[in-house]
Amino acid sequence: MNGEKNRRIEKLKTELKRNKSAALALLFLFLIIFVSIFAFLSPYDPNKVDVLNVLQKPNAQHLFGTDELGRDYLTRALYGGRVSLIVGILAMLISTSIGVLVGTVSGYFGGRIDNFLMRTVDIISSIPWMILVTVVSIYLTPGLKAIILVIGLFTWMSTARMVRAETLSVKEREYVLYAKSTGQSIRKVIWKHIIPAVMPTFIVASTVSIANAILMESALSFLGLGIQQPLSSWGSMLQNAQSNLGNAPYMAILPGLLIVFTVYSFNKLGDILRAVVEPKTSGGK
Amino acid sequence: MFKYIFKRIMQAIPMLVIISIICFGLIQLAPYDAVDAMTTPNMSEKTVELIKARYGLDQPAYMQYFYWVKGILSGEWGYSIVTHESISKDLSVRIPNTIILVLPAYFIALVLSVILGLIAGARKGKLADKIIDGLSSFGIAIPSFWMAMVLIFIFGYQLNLFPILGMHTIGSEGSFSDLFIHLVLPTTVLTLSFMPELVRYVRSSTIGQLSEDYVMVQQAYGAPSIGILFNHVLRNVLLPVITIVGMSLPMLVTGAVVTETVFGWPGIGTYFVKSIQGFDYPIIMAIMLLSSSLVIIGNLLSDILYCIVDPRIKGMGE
Amino acid sequence: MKINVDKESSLLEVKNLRTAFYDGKTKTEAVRGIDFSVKKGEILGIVGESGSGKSVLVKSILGIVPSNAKVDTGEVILDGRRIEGLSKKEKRLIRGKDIAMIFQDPMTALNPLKKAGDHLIELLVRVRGIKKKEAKQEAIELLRMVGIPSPETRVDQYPHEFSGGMRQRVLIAMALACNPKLLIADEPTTALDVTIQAQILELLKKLQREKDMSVVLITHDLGVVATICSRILVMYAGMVMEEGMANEIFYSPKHPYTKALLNSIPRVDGEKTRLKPIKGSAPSLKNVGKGCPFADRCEFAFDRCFTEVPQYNTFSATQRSMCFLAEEEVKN
Repeated sequence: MNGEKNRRIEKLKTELKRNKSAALALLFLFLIIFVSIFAFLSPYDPNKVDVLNVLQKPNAQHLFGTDELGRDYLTRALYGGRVSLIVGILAMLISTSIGVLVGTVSGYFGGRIDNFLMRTVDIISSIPWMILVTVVSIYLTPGLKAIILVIGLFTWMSTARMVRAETLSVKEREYVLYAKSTGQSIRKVIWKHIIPAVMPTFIVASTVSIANAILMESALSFLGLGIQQPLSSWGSMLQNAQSNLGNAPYMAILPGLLIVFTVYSFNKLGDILRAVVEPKTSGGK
Repeated sequence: MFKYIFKRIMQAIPMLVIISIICFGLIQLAPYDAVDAMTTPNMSEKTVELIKARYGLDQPAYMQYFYWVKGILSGEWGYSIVTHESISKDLSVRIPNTIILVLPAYFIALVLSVILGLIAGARKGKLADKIIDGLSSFGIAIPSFWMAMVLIFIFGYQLNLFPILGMHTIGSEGSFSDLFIHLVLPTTVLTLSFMPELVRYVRSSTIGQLSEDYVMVQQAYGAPSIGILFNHVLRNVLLPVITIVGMSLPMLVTGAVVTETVFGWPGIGTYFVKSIQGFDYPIIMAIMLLSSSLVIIGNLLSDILYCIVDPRIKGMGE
Repeated sequence: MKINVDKESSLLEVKNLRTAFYDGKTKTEAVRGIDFSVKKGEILGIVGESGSGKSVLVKSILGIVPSNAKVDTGEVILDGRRIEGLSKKEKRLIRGKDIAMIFQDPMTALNPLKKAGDHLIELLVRVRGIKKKEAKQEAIELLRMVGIPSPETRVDQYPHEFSGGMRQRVLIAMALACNPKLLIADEPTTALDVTIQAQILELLKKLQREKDMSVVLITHDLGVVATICSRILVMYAGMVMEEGMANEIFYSPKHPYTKALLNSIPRVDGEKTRLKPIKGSAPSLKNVGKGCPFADRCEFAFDRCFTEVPQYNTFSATQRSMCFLAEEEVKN
């Protein structure tokens, strides 16, 4: 077990050395998580309205200018990052948990249970996510909790499909068959044997699903259906920026770039992890 | 083959029914009474009762469901609560607007992606591949509305080349060239946002095909690499693209919603966002039903097409 | 100490061929300095366990090694022409026209979305310059020649409608379509049923005689070699261990590896001996020592075997072996 761990760490190192953009992406992720945690160190209050300094261009005092209410834009972007990352990570936790649960149960038990769960997956995935998520969100009070819930509750289908496929192949392996034949309880077999085996799939799926959740949140907030004022996320900041595009184009730059780099970096992280956990694809296929 | 197609259709029908039940259920859950859409506050109790009876709204829920389905099948989609307009009339204006925006964009994206994906796959690891693959993995991370804002700023505000809002300049509705220049920016955004995933798909599928034995055999017989790519690999890459097209339909809907909103395009997307903001439940459910049926039928059609085109499936059971 | 090859009668000559796979900085040599020749009109068998580099060897000659492999050195002379000196396009044209190849797995060697006939027509048009309309007729003739029944309907069928043996026949038809001087068959029967194997070998033998081609047959199966080859090359770990006429290899093998190989197959000449599997497993090309590659598994190995690669010893005009023991034998 330990040797396996060491081998993976070795693999990770060589992968990072070979793949420079992946190493940069990783660095960026550490940085962005770090600064959004320590956003409170900023000298500005993200919600403090300052009518004297409305829509200031980037300058020495306000590195990225101020918005239409005179709030420091960089500070707001850092707090916004917090919101975007929290949404991304929590929604990922919800969606991958459901996905892994449904996938393993479906793959392990097969038969009617499998049929029922997979048809449910088919039905939910046939409703375009944008429509589904917005429709459900009108039944909830809009805000941070609602958006995490709707994204988490309706994006687990692809994870479930992947985990199911993985479970189907794992459950035929000898050690699992052995565990079953010695009369271990189903819960124990799933927990001890199936879940660890689908872990790699789960890890890769989770980074990608953080990226997707961040993109979804930004789109919803941009449409005004997500995060509500005074709280802001990168998406809702861009909604503001759009109405000021003519006179304050700089407002569109920072949140946009932050979304792009964060999503890109999470996807890259997924690529690296995939290469580390699945030795077969490391050849660059 | 016909057995498979029949089976596939039999799978799609219950899905459509379930989707319609979900939509109907959500309308029932919504905090409003369907009759509100057809009444005005100054109508008497009695008139309201009459209208209710006429539309079957005084009957139990399952009867209402049947009336509702019957109405939808005969093109009667109900009325907006906010404007009291007929939804089917609104849709008949809005759907064509969305189609002229989304379909050409998707088509261009598809053609470009196949070309770029083939190049990248065939030149795997070389400069061309690094550029194409690098740009697509970046492209996946770019929110389409942000790309729209950047384009609006550059081409609309700075260069003043293209209009940035709506479908027509007031006064020149019906002019094709006017429509065309209004289409440029939103179509570009949609095309660019559809492309990255398609390119990556075609690329990895090309790489997979190039490592197949039949490619090595062709090499062993001296076929030039361009010939192998176009004569042999291309059709093997294009075949699964049919399925991808079917699966992309949800993406088209999402793309339409976001892009239409940014550009104020009077299509189904803005209609939807407006109805969400106004809690216009009948419209919301109509669009939900419409778009998911579209996805189910789209998937069905692409599966059927696949099995007509692929000789391996076509030959089965004959 | 090289065997004198009659320049007049040899169709293909390969000198000091080395091919390696590269993974980042690690280099794995699959073919380690091989010399051999193919005479006009002969069937040469190349025998070795899987991983001995025999497939890579012929792919190197054709210039179709996988993208992570590279031919490092080597000279290939075909019909008096040095292939290295040719342009990329001329090299490409040699494939098919002069040397055709058939492959191990007929199930995957044909494009699943192209009709059997189209595979042939494409070749006839490109290599032989036949017009498309006439090519179809020719394709039907070719299919008939390789023994496919009712070729008129078969020509319009897709690969999945053919059985494994029939697909291998289509591939042989492809090879014949080019009228090659040399046909390389890379494990042509491995993926097929035993009864089909014999049919395919019989077909190859018949066509070789009719068309007066040279054939290189690669296999891990000595039984296959015994049926049709006139001369044999025994490979191990990317090197030629022993080379000789079929009767020399079968009746007076000189190299311990050849002997071990022969002992591991059942004999048909009535002599009852226990089958002896070769101990150890096929060599890993990743860590090759300084000495003889077979030393680890050789029951006669002594100290020198692990430190020095033996030279070839010649036993007849046609037989040579890479082993110190043989050297002793010769001296005595």
